Amino acid sequence: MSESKPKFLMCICTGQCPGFSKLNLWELINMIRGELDVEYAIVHPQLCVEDGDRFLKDYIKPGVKYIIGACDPTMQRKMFKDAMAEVGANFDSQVIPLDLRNMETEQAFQKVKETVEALNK
Amino acid sequence: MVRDRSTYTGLPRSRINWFPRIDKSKCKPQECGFHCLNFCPFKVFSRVDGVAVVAQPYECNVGDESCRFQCPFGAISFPTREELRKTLRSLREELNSNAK
Repeated sequence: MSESKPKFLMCICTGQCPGFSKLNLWELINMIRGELDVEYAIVHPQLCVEDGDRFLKDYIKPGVKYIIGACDPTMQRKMFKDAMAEVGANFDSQVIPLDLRNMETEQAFQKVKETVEALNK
Repeated sequence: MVRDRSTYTGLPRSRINWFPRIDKSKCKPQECGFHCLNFCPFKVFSRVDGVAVVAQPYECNVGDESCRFQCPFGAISFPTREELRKTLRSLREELNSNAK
């Protein structure tokens, strides 16, 4: 039975990527975990490289919903689906990938909020 | 980097009722040596007439309860996370509707 609330992962692309320069990471993550109906909200520096793969394999569980705030959704699928498949999870049915680049903090928060509310309906 | 503490995630800090409460019946500062006061980096607590008081409530870091675990007598309490969530949500909605 899948846990009810989705889990939020923020991938911040090392923190150096200009795509996230307008976003206040710590303000965003505290807004999400403080105000939205998520199980919790965590930050990973770079899911798309080796240690990101190892993290995903260690962390992801089948049947659980994840919202991943990061880069382009098609890129996310390409980069994460194999690691997830290795542990019996399915990117397409379990992950809602959100592109939060080039957004102010409030704008990114609204996008996550709408996604969580749609999921929890 | 000194952060502006008058707001919390864009919300006015003075409108967020998040700060410690001290149960006077449990508080024994002479025995613990004012643990809370020595621990809190935001100077929320003060010593007044030999007892610990919450002197600067709105300097408290929203969502932070670490001082509660410091008190050897369990004299410190905070609002629940659910109360905090409700406060933040309603303030956020108020802020967004004023902005429209």
